Amino acid sequence: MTERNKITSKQLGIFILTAQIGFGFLTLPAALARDVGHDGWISILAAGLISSLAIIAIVLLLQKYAGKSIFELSPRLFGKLPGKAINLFLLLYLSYSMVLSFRIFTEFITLYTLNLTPGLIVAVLIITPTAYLLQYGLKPLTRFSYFIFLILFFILVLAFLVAAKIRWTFLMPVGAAGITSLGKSLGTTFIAYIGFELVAFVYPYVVDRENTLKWVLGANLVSMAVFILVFLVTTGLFGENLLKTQLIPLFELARYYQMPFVERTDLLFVLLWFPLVESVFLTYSFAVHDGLRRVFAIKNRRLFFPFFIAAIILLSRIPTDLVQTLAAANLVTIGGIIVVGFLIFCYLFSFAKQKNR
Amino acid sequence: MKIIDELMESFRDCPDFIAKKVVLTRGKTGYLLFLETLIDPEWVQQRFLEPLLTLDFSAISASTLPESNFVYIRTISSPDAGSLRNAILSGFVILMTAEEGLALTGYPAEKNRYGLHDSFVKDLHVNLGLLRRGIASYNLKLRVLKIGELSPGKVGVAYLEGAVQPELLAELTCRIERLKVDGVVGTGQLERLVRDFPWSPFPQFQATERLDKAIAALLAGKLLIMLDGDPVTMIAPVTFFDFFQEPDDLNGNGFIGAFIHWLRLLAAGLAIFFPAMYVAVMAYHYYIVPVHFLSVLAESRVRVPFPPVIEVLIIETVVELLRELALRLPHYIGVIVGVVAGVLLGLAAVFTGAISGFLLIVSMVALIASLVLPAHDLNFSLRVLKFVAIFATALFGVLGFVVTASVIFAHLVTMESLGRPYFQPVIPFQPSGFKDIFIRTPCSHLRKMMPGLSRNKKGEG
Repeated sequence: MTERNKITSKQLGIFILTAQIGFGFLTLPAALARDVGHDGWISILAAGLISSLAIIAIVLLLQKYAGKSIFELSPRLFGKLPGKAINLFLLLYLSYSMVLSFRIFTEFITLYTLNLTPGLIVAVLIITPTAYLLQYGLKPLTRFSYFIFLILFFILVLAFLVAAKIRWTFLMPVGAAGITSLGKSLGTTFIAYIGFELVAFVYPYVVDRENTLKWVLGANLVSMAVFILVFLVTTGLFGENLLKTQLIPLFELARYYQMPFVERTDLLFVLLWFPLVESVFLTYSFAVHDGLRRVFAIKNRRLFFPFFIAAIILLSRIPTDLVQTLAAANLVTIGGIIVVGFLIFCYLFSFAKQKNR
Repeated sequence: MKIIDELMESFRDCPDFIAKKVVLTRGKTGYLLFLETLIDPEWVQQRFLEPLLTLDFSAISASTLPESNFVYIRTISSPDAGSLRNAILSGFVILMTAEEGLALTGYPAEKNRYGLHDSFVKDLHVNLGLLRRGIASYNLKLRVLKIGELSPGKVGVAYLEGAVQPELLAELTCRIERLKVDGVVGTGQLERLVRDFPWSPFPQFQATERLDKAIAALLAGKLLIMLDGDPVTMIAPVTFFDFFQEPDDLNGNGFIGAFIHWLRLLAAGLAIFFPAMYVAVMAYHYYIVPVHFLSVLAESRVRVPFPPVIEVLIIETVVELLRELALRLPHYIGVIVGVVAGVLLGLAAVFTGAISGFLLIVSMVALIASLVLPAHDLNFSLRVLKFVAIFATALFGVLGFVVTASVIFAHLVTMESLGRPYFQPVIPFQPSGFKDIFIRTPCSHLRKMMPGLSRNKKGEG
């Protein structure tokens, strides 16, 4: 296979869409209901617009230094030593998110399907598709994430099936939450959009860089539309008070719908979600794998790869249980916001640097 | 001569094209031109050349040739390369004299030297002739390569110039030329040597003996790999969905064709996953099954002493044995033994309570589903994958099932055949190809005969 890492902007868009929808989105409606009640969709809309602005800044920054990833940019912008430190921080953020997302993934699988199997075995099992794809580079990996379309299709079908039972009064009155609490909820919502910052890491592999902005923005908007749709449907169906008590409202939605003959429709959704979460985890693990190789100039890929996979599994076992894992996940939120903020700062800084010259 | 040079260029990479310089009476020279796959060289010698050589060429021109003496022969007074090319491709022999621009053509009485065939034979040369009947164009080329050091053999790579991507051809010939082997006895062996993913259970080239399939593939811009001495021809590159197509599908009604494609895809899914699904449901997730149905299921398993996995493995092994048996025995015995063994064994197994009746249904459906598929090669890989899925599900329930499916999916999107994405046109998505396979718009909307290779590289990814 030639040029295994080269992808098109369209594929990058799908890659980002997967990263956004696959993970943070699952718990979003419940978290939003707790924060702002039935007005969560306003928060989703606002965060969507903010993330779009962030995407524009990031892509413009990358286009300015054509073909460089953020790992090459930071030493160039801030000097050799600070650049290296920043790179290490970025890598730390990526690895942390990757390992944690893997652990959460493992925990959910245990919770929903295999209650008695030891976590380590589940971890080894679910890392198999990732380990396989990661060897072949970015291109097959993005192809794998095309799976998102099947999920989107099922979400639409599910929304359509329950549409008749939605009570719109659950969504009234609009704006009851007030500006302050809406503003506060932006952090929660923004984290669901996290995933687009990966553009900064995989950008050098994009072939048609002139279309990148279009596709990544498009992905962000699709994510926003899906978030809003699911939020409206779940709130309209369950009401905000019931929603607050749920863990993953989308799965509850699937359980709510009574399919003739087949029981436990939600299990079908859990099954379908597996490849999706797998591909989110894949996107991060590619970014980490690639980043490690770039920053530390690792040559021997064959030797490095098994260590990499083993490290993910072992590191993911550090938190003792789900509660600790979720607590640790808060750091991902903060880290994500810092990274996005840093990328926007880089963009602004690049102008200042230009002027100085 | 200009025309001869032009013709030589047109028929480049056509090993059956004969352009032989002949010396006629009184030192005159001419060229004898024909395709030896279409005409018997002996016929040319005896019925065409011998009488002509006795003629006094200084005395004849286009107008004076005593045509009545030569029933098969006519003349072309001012020949051009185009008309000569067409004549050669229609099976004429041409004798072209050097000076006067006079061409004599002869048309053999018996054109079909080998009779009508709709499938390939062992001889590479004859196979080229068979292809020529289907595609009467000088763009049909055959590149002959040598293979094997101890036992040298010939490999032909046939392609349709203008339809094929040159880099594909270069890639394949390069791979074959690079091979260092003692000898190759079958095309399947050759496939295994040049395929992209040597460890994959999926076929990466498509084997066929059928001429119509091969011709359709050539028209779609694919390459044919023909080994001298083996009637099986390999089509490359292929996609996963090519294995669900039959040439006949294109002849029928579009809607029915689409229906059949969906049916075959469903069959492939059932063939791999149905027994594994049974294991997952029976051993781990019986709560998926509705209560009314659960009692029926439970009843059918009341007397079965084995856990679901063992039960499934027993019946699947027996099914595989029966299938092998049907292959090895002569047709008339095989059918009877197969029926007797299948029916009696099944009845006895259910009756004695060794396996549940419901599992018998599951296994038989999986068997039928795997036999529905037109491609044999794919069939074998599905059989192997079925067992992988059963084992994974037995160990990890529905998670094992999903992981197996994910790995298979990951493998399919990673795979390439001659560097082309294997899972096209679904991933990477290609609207035109997708339409041809899954929707099958009426034929007037089809741009090409077979969905296959996109010639624009932009959409690739």
